Amino acid sequence: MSGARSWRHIRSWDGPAAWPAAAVVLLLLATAWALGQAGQASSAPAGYQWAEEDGEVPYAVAGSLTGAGQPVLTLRLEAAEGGDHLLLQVKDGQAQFFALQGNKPVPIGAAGKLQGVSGEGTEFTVQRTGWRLSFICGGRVICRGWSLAEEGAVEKVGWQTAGGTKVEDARIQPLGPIEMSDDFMRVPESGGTWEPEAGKWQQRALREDAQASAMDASKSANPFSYYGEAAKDGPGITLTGYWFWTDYRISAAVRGDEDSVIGLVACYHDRANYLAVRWTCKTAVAAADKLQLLAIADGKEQVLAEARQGFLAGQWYRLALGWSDGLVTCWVDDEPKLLARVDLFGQGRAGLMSAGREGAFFDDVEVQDWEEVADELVSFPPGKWQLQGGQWTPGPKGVRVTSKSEAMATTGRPQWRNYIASVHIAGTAAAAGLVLGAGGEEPVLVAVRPKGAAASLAVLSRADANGWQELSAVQCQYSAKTGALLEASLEDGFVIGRLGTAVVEAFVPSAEGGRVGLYTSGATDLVFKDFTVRFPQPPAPAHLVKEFTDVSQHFEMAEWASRRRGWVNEEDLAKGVNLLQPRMTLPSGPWWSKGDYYADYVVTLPVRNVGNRDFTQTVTLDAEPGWENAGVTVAISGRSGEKTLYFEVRRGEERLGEARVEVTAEETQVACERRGAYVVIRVDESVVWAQPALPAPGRRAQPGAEGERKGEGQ
Amino acid sequence: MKAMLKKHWHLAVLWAVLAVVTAAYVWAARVKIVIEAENYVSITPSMTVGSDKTASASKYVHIPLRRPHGENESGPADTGNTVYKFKIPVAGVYRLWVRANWYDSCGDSFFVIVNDQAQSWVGEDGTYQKWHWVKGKTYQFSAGVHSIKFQNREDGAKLDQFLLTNDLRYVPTRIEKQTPSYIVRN
Repeated sequence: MSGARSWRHIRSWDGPAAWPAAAVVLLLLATAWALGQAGQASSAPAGYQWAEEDGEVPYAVAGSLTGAGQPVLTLRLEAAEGGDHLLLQVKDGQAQFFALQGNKPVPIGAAGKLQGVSGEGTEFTVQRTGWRLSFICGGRVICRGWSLAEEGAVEKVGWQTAGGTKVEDARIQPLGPIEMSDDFMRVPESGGTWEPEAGKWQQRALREDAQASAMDASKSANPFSYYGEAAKDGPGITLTGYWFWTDYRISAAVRGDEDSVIGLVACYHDRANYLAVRWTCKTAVAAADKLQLLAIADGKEQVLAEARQGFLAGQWYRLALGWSDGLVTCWVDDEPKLLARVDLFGQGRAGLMSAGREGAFFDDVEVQDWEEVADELVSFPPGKWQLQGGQWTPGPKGVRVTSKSEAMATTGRPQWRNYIASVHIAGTAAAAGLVLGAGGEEPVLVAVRPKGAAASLAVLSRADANGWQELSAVQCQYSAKTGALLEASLEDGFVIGRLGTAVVEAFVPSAEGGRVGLYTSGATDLVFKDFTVRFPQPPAPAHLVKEFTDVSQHFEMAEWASRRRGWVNEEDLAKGVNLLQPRMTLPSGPWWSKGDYYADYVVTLPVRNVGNRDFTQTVTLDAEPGWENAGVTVAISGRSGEKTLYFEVRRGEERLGEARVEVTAEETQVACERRGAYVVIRVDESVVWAQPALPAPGRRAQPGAEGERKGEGQ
Repeated sequence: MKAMLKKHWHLAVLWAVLAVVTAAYVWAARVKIVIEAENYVSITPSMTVGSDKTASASKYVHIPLRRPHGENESGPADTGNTVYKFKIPVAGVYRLWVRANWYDSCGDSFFVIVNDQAQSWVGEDGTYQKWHWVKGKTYQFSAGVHSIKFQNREDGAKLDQFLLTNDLRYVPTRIEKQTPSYIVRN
């Protein structure tokens, strides 16, 4: 048959060429589909089914497990570039995370027990963040693991099953920062992210309370709020957020009446499974005067912690509930009130709750990322802690360490910044403490050195591979038998150590933070327990009100200090000028902060036209008008034609030091900080000078000094 | 026709199977379309481009603040807008998400006009002064080229990216990578 006739036969779909042609087409299609499925995983181990998309750290893998009885599953997270490949192995009623080191699986977390899955499918999630892994199945945390990964690291996700187990509907959900807020300032029933789950919820345009005798929205800063009422068969709950939310803090302004029951929820799965804080009125008829942390699991309520601290009817408060790393905390007006350990759900939505016979008001809701590490050190799971040297033996009273030389257990993430770490230490060692920035280039050690009656608390930096250099030290009281709580904080290079009443501090400009380590040297019988790392919230925004300058009705506000508008001029004050009004001319003379500032503060000012003029500006810390020499004065100078800033630091007539720094821009930001006894000068966030120059706060050299003012500048 | 089908029924079955398999594969494909706000087809003032290093590719579009803001406003001062065109590969229901930064409660929304049809809006979620994803409505799209317009509803509203996906369970949580293959330039 000629080529042309063959072609005509195929085109007419007649003849012997038709079926082979169709088969070729089918084969090509099937091959293309298979290649599409295999995709980029062609280099990954065989025998796995791979997700269509890769995961980018942090992410979650969600799906449904089906089968009869105990599932058999291996989930593989294949690092695309470097890093360990990770496995989740589920079999024989247990689940555990492993890291593949070579081809050998090494546990990176403790095993957890798993109930069987249902034929209809049991939902599961594997959360993979930059440090933690969680396996959540059937709404319960089954096991956890720890493995560091860079943010954005790509991992292929694959799985294999056996014994009739199937993974269905697998998908990747990216994880990201949680930043949600709501002041309810909108037309009722319009917008918002709230989904009422139970009860009745409505936006209110005006509050009905005793303070609003004449309802007029134009005379109220924020008349909008959210009002919730209980359901007939249980608490009223309204939700925001998503199923994969984890490690967060929800806070809200709340107000109730005598029969209101106010609450917040976290890790919400359904009406039978969530965490909550519940609050009743001091003078309620039933269940009065209670603040409680609750876990509702399978419909059963468990009180995790409780305090007799009811709210006052008609009063607004700020209530908050945080959950992270198995630790649940509640705050009232930013004061921590209750703490409990529970690691049931692992993830879930956030919400508001109203459970009383009367409803409750909510306003200014915020949900933000919240990280807190709390480890009793009784189990010391692999992966969470990396050990160097010594013998570490966890037990009911904590982890016991023996070591002839240095030993350290490190945990956390290199990205940690500005935190407070604490641990209880008991027993005997040459030194024991906390390393901040462990494993990094510039670790800092805060340690107690028990030497009988001459125990000391010290801050040390790593001078070289051979030893530590002491930066500062104070005497302290330490009993090996009873032990003590050691606390170490790091904020922008400023290190504080506390043990009992002893406080030691140092400034280490290169200390940026990072992982935290438990450290000991020469330990014969040392026990660490109750380790925590907390990340203090930034200070609340300062609001400017008219009483800041107009004290005619509230004379007690005359010395009120505020971060918002700190500067007053003596000439203005003498004339009674209202600083809130626009002004045409500036007065002469120095500006002083209004009121005293306690403890640490920062004075930040722009320095303009560097190199275009000769100038000198001064900032005086911890002094007051007429007593400038009592504090420290920083003189900032510049010269025409030079892109250089000159600094001279004086206390009265005494010259404490000087510095110079080259700048490139015409305007720079200069910050003069008081950090404990240190004065720190930064130019565009780089430290140019830092030395102890002031008495520590609370222990003033002139106890009779009144009305000390801080911060003069011009 | 009937005679031909009777004669070649096996081929007809084969083509039918091929069509079903192909359609099923295409239907099962998750589609995610991501477009940077500054990649518009047209822009009309007062909508304008802004710069912010925390925005994706450091750029966004916005309706600049008017002074006074939020006081006795009867409506938007103009119909400033940006228009985008994109290809939908698979017909279906798509969810709109926008990555926005709202000024305050009086600057927290855009009008959304799809294919020059009736306008809706997106926003009023109560989160201000930070870039975040806002869930919008769902839209039915046929396969082919479509347009979307974001228009002035309140001044102070900023738009960094928007996303359309037929995976209604998907939730964007961070900056997404743009998908150039779905963008139509004119």
